[in-house]
Amino acid sequence: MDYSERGPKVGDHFPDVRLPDQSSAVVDLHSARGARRAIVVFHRSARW
Amino acid sequence: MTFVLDATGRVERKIVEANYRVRQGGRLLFEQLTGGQPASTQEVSEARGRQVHVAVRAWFDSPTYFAYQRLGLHVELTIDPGWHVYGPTTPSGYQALEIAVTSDPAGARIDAFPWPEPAAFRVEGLDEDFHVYEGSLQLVIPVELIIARGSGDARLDVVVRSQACSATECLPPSSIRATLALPEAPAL
Repeated sequence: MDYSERGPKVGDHFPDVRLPDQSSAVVDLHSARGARRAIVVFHRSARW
Repeated sequence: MTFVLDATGRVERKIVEANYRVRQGGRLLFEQLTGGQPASTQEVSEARGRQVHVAVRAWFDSPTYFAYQRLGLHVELTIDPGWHVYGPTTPSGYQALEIAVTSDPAGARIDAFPWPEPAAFRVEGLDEDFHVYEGSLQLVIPVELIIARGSGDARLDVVVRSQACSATECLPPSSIRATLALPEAPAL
């Protein structure tokens, strides 16, 4: 299955994301990165 | 799926893996996307091998692996002064530089990677155009470890095949093997 069209496209503003980290503290992506670049990686699970 | 965001939060690059189970190792991802290397405090093991006029040092960018992870294999070739090896494309009859990786348990697979630009080289009296590497050569090779979870520690053989030549002499093609031990990362 081709997932390349799923999710934000190149040039789009990445959506606001607020998710709990490994310590259950909520992280706001754009606040946490400030004015820095970021890499966002999605996986189906931490381990297969 | 991986998104690279610029400083304003816009998507600068989007990467979709062909195999959804494959995950890029953190250091390789960082290097490929930023061109730099993150600071490391992790100990990694390395292996060395040598043939006449060519030496090889190899190491992974992680001390462990987990199933379906893609790690960066660093391969450093050191070629004696006055000698060269042929680049990845070379005229028929000469041994191009080749790198192969096998593993036990089986499942290591090399992904495409950029070779450094070889230097043009001409031999007086021959019509062929050669492209060669001299001195030191650094490669970072993405290696997918398509190995089932729970398989245990892996042994990886890195085989570098090349042909060392000088301006007046060519040795027969030879292979250098470097064997790396890569423990499986503990389950979460």
